[in-house]
Amino acid sequence: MNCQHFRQVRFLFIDADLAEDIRMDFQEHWSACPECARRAALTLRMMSLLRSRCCRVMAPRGLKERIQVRLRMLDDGEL
Amino acid sequence: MSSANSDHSGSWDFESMAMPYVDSLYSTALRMTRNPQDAEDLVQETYLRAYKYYDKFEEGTNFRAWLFRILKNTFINEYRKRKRQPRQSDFADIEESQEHRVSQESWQRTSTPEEDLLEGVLDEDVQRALDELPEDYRIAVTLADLEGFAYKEIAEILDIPVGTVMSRLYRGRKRLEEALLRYAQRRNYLSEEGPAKMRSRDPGEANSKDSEQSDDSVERGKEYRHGAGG
Repeated sequence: MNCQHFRQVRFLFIDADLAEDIRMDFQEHWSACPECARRAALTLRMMSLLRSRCCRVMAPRGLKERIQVRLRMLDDGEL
Repeated sequence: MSSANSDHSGSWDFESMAMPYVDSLYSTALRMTRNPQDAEDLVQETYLRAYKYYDKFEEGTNFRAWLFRILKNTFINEYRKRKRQPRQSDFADIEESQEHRVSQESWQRTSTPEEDLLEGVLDEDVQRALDELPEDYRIAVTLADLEGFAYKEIAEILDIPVGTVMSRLYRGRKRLEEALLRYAQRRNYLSEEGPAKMRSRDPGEANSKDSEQSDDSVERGKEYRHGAGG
């Protein structure tokens, strides 16, 4: 794997369904190239920020009940 | 419709399957619409449609992905039509080269290690960076990184090839990284050196050609994933 290829794959490396041979090539390049390793570490940090800081929001109170009411109206032919 | 029973047994069966996903559907709807009232309308409409087509759901397949697929279709067919919003991704490539110039500049001028810079990023920066992504990238990143869907599931939800899922994730995450570095750098300048130095930067100098070339080869995508031959 060359540096250009590595710098693309670094944004997909965290995905479990990335092909295993690509993952192994990626790790090999990571340990051999300090500049790419620096960028990959940055990307992993960014991904961890994204996943930890950008929490899923909860649905507003009452939304579930409003949906249930509409589903039952649909059942009763009122919608 | 799956059931027209007056005792609501049809909707109860559906509700017990579908209601546990209300938070996760709402969260994604909010990322799609970026407006709480629109997100709520979109989720309600999604549930009504899902119930109408519940008999089309194949048991044993992924119910959560099926619901998200209906959410996406409802968003595209109803919401976007109603709002008459242009597809932001039509302009994505132009924006991309612009943003890359700024980010290349950031790499070259900063003396602080970027990873340390990111430590200064606030929650609101992350939210903003995600909200500002073009729609196609934002939805792919939301499904992968906030909802935990696999490439194949995202491909089914969005009706696109797996290679395109990977390309959107690659581009979306790359732009997020660039945006977060920009925000972090701005905060760093403001807190340590004052705004004067920012004005002296000229983001038009750097060349974005390398980035465009690298994007092209990820677009092909196929060789990077499991089961590429099949």
